[in-house]
Amino acid sequence: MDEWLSYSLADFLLFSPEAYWRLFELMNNALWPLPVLLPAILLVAAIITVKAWKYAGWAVGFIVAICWAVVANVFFTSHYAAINWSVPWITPLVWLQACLVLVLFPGLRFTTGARYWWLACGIVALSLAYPIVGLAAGRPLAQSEVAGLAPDPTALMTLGLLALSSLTWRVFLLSILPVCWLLFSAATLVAMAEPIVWVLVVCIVMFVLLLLGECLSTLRQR
Amino acid sequence: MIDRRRLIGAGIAATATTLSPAMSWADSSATRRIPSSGALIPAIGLGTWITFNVGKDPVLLDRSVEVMRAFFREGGGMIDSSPMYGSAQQTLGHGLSELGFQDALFSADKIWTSAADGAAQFADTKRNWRIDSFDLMQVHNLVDVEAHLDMLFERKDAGEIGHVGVTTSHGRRHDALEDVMRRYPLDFVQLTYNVLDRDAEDRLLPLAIDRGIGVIVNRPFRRGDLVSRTTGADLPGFAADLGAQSWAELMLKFILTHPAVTVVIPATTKPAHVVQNKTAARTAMPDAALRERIAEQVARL
Repeated sequence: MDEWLSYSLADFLLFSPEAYWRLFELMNNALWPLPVLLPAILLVAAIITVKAWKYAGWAVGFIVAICWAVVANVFFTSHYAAINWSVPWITPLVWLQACLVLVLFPGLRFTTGARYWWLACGIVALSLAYPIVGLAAGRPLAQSEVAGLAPDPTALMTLGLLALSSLTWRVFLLSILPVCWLLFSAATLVAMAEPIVWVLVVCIVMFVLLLLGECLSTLRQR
Repeated sequence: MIDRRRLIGAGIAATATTLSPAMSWADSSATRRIPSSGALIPAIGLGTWITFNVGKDPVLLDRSVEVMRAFFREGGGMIDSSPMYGSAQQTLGHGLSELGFQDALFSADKIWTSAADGAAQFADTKRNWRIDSFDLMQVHNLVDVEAHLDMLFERKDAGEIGHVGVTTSHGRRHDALEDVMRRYPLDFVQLTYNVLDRDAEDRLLPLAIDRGIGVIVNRPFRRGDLVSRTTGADLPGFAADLGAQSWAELMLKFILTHPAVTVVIPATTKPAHVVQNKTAARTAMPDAALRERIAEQVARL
């Protein structure tokens, strides 16, 4: 036990921050112009969700499922796995998330009158504007983490969209992997001494508080 | 094309000195003799932890090749990797393929898996490096150490491995390491030793001398932290007497002057640092009192 306590997060880091951030540059270059088109497509998805369009669950579920599939196949398998041998164990779970989103999103009931509507919209907006976070951290635009390609903003986008729907078991099930991934990613960012970890931590805490608030509200109504 | 044999000659023979089996603190040389085999090896090797885990990134792969080019130009020697280091083995294979300097290489890698998978991992490691045999194969962090050592000694007898060793890092599992050092005829042991991490001085380094086991030192700069803490600090006056132009060189000299140490394996992404590291082994060495002053000064920063 004492030996395990002597480890720090940095001891588990297999790669340099430079190698990690360049993964996004290589992916963005390989998929150009998707890094520009995808945020626009996701913005439309976010708008029809916010407006609680009748078929938002189907349409947005399809788009977000494809995003998770791209994250699994392109980022994890084609790029990240080359420098992190734990990724092949994570990738099947990301594929599972894509399937769950495809199957369960249509059953979500989006509403414009959610108690924490602005908070949820804020998380969605942050996920779409995530390249600005990288710029603020001093990384070049070429290394941007784009929602739909990179896992962190895709997870944030998913959580934000879930927060726009009425609380059901589907929301809990669909939020497990994004929250777990963001915690894993936050640990990686801590190990790399990247200050943007606070963005993830704040978003995770906000989402969890939002869920708890909804749970308490539902219990009171009963 | 550069002639490999000429490189080895320029790198190793020009710097080789005759060392007695029992080295003293003041021994100054760029090469050391491996206690078990008697072979000469450059005292500064090259680690690959994190620095060579660059995946398929063409820019970072090219940079790694340049680091290797500088390393071989400076005489080559031990390059150490592990299956645990992500794509580092593949990066080395790419570099060796590009440079073709294999004759100046002392290849060192590790087994890091369960006993049942050791042979398969050894085969993968050879494929990744694109070589047929290794100068040194070690058991990484003592994982399934007894089973792997049995396999490695068999491979050594068969000529697939030149030397056999075990590794630890971060000063962990020293009791277990000492036990293995006493029970097995190891050629090398790898451990962490630097100006601030000196636990190995108590038992392991003296035991290595007693048992005729070569010592490979990892984390000489605590993954760069020790160099970072010297940023902006003036070099002590005695650095010029030792021909040292940086704190990193002083820290390497501290390690190299322990009589048990055979090879130090600093990792870097900069060819200039390779040259600087190699230079540290070629210039004057501190005596026992001066090396203590190096440790004290770094500790104070």
